[in-house]
Amino acid sequence: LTSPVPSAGPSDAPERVASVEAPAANGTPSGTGGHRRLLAGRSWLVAVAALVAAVELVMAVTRTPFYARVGNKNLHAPKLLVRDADVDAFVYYDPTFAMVAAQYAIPRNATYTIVVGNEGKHAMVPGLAIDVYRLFLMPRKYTTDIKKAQWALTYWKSSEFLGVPYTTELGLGPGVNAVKLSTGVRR
Amino acid sequence: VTRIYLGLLANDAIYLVTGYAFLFAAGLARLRLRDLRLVGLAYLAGWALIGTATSLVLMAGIELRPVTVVIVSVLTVAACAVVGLRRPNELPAEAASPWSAPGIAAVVVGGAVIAIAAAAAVATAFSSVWVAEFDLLSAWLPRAEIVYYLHHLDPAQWSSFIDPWYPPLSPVMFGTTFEFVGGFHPSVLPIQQTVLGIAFVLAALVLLDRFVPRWISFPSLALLIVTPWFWWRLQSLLPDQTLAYMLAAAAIVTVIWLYEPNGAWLALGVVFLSAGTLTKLEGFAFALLLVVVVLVAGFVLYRRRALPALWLLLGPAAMVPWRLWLDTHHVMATNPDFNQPRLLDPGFLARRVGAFGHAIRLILGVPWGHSFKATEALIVIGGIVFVCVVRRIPVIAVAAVTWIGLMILALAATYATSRVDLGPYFSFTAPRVGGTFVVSAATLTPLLLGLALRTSNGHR
Repeated sequence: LTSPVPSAGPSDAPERVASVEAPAANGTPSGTGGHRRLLAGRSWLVAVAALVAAVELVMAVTRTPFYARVGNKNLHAPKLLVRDADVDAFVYYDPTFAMVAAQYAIPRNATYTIVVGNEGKHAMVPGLAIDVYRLFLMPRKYTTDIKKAQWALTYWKSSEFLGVPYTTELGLGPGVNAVKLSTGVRR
Repeated sequence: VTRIYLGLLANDAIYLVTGYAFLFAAGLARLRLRDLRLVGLAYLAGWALIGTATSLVLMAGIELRPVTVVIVSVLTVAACAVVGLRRPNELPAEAASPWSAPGIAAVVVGGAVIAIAAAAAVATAFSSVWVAEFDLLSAWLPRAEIVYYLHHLDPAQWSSFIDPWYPPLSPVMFGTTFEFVGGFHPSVLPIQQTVLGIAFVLAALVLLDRFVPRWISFPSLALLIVTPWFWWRLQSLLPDQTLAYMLAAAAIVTVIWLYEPNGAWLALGVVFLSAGTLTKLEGFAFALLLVVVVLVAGFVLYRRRALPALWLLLGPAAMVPWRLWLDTHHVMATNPDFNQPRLLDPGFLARRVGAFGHAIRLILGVPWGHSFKATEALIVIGGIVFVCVVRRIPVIAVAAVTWIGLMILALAATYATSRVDLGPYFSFTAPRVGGTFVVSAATLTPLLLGLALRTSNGHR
């Protein structure tokens, strides 16, 4: 794989900006006019590089205090326990205690389904509600067929309208219930 | 809590050790004290290597547990040690960088900016609440749970979440972290992502250091790290930022190879390209474009001596086993939104011209919306630098710009020929995917400047 190429010369330092004229030995085609030499010269490129570096540095430095403040604020912010921090992100969507309670209500080896109704005023949209509760209920096996489910998590949906018989209903939070179904695959 | 952080530490240590071993095999590290400066590059390479390897292990049907990751790491380290000891790769000696007072000042100030921004990102990752974005909840995190709870890519579960055709590297890496911390703890993932992002910045610094004066590289990367598109996404769990790291790193090492055709750069290129390919479908397209551009530029520069660059095809080829896994397990392999674009139908294409223009405008327009103009500055500076260096390193400069241009065109063409409504869709995806263009441009700009300063006119 190796086919080394002879190394090029050492890099330049910014003080070479002062030398605008292109050195003859750098391989630059020698133009006749001073203007052409100025544009083709290596020193001209060093000047551009120095200007670019200066602009970048000034822009970066002006923004740094903002990030320093953000970092300092976060450094001194009260620390959450990991288990609380895991759940806290979901506050944006819905009350989280129902999500955590669902993990305790539905057995870990159960097959379950999620039924979403339209009875909640500030409820999550159906697709999001299913995604969020599936995330909390993994590794329980999810099915879209209520007849194959042992448990149903009802989200703003009355259990009476599930269309299948059930034996137990546990309230997990506002509008959220875990319902043990009489149907479903027995384990 | 202690167990969780010890788990994180062990997880990161595995990436670091594997990466150092790989750099040793590539001839970049010699296990000297001086090699400590390679810490970022070692972590990034180790992360990409373990990510690719564990993804392939899972595709092969082998269960993923912490011991699996340890075994993969030990085998990789052993293989790298054998290669490094028996067939050591030699890199040309680095040219000494002369120091000057303005140069030192630029390095000190730039270094301070990078250090402050990195420390702020770490503090934020430890303290702030992770952002539960929709794509994360509906696709990436559930699949990480599959990897963690079921220890394999369960096809039925995998296909029950949206977009099952997306490659598995991100969920696999999240799942690996969960294995090491001993539970499904998404709140620790921003820490891992921030470490990866900082590793990328350090890796870029050390890669540039070989060819670029530090008074150029430090200010460039200082501006990149404080750019809103970059800093705020250091904690992001969406794979777009990871994709940007992998492809930008791949672009740096392959452009370096065009200047200094040594096998070490190709080896690193394969690692980053394969990780990028397995991160997102866009990664496969962008990686393939990069390989094609580098191959063409390589053959222009070196003729038959560029043949070793064909090894780079191994990077995008990482998509092959993933497609095989999808087909074998009857998991939907293509996005129905892009299934029937009827590309050979002139009427369809004519109707999509407007959508293509709209897509281009959105992609190019999104970076200009921020109040802090760092992104715009990076792009403008990149354009100016290209104009200035193209006479000295025409092939390399044109190759770099062509790759970025092709990525933009490819993304716009893909969106334009889809059945998705471009308006709302793009408002979410364009800024995220566009991060790859910005990060790549920001890291290639100082490299092009440095290479141009070392080169006589028109040689490369």
